[in-house]
Amino acid sequence: MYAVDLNALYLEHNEALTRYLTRLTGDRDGAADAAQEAYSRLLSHPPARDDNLRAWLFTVATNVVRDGWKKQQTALRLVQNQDGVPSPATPADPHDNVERLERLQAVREVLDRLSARDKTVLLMREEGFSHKEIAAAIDTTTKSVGTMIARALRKFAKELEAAGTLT
Amino acid sequence: MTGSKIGREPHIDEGDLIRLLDGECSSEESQRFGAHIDACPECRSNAESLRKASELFSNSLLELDSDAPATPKRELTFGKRIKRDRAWLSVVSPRVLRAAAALALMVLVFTATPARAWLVQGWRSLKSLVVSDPVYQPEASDVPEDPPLDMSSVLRFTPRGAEFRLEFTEYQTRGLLTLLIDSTTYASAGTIGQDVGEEMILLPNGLRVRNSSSSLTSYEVNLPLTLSLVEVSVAGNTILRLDVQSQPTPLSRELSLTAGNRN
Repeated sequence: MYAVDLNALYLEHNEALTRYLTRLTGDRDGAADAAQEAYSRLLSHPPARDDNLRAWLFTVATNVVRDGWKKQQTALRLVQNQDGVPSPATPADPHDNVERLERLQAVREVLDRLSARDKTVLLMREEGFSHKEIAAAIDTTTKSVGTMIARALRKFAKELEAAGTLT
Repeated sequence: MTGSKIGREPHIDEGDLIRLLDGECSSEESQRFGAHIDACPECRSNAESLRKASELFSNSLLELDSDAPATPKRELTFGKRIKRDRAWLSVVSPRVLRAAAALALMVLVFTATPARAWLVQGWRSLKSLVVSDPVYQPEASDVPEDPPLDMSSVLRFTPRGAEFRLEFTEYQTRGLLTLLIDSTTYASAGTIGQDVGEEMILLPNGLRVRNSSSSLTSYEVNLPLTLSLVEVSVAGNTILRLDVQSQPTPLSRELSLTAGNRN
């Protein structure tokens, strides 16, 4: 059994992990919570091998986010009298450029419309994970990851174009 | 390969194009796909549009990130890590260069303790000036065990057509060298010299080198022969545009990075 050096892991990976989770959820606080939960699980239920703890952390944190989404969807179904989904957007700074804010909002919306799996694939790729590591995280074959990435990229570009934010 | 065919050769499906762009193909596949792309306008166009979509996605994320509160720490690692302990080791087979597009965007960011940045005034009078990095605060984990070297470093920048050699001719302190390259432009890079424990990270769109302290390392970067333009920028500001093919070769310039030159 190996010893988990949580401090070293945190220093080495936390910034990338938090960035990934923030992009995945659009919620910085939620990202920090999910990261915290992943570290906690690392201590309580460490993987059998320590040869790729980075990928393990990202995968576990992704699962934490997914579990949270499932709970949110259940809660939303229970609150039938609500109109629409509460927006996580923060109030706009009046000094900010309106066009830029609109573009950012469109990017966020398009990102959120991607399936959880597509989003995970693209964001893990963005963090430099190999197709093999991505495949392990979403429980699919390595060969199919390229196809999933291509399809998700096409969808993202098409929807962003449809949102009118591309010149 | 799947789909319709050009001649007797089937087109490359988009999954394989992504695998090629991400450096996931075997050398045999890279060679085969590269040769096909050279001969097939349709696959070349597909690869280019996927590269653009990938770039759009990356840029969109960066834009979203910039809207979030600044992170307090410097980014230290991500991507595939390749430890460099030998004199020369290629990251990507030069054969994959055949798959490269005609235009490369190269962003070179050099972060050294305590110096960071070049200022360049044109190709023919290339020169540099060290500016301090006011944001950079070394963390406990980022401080080398041995005392930081407080001496000047010289980065020799030697473009030879589509090859670049970035050579540190004096000892340097620890830092990051990042080469971000257009995603269809495959770059190979290796280290030459007295590198000890250099860490080279292959990013989807480029390379990142994390210097060890006391390093006298050179980096040789090979870009596609079709490369025509290189843009070098530091912290988002373009400082150099090179029309590579119109330059006589070789040219060499030394860029002084003086450790004591802090603000």
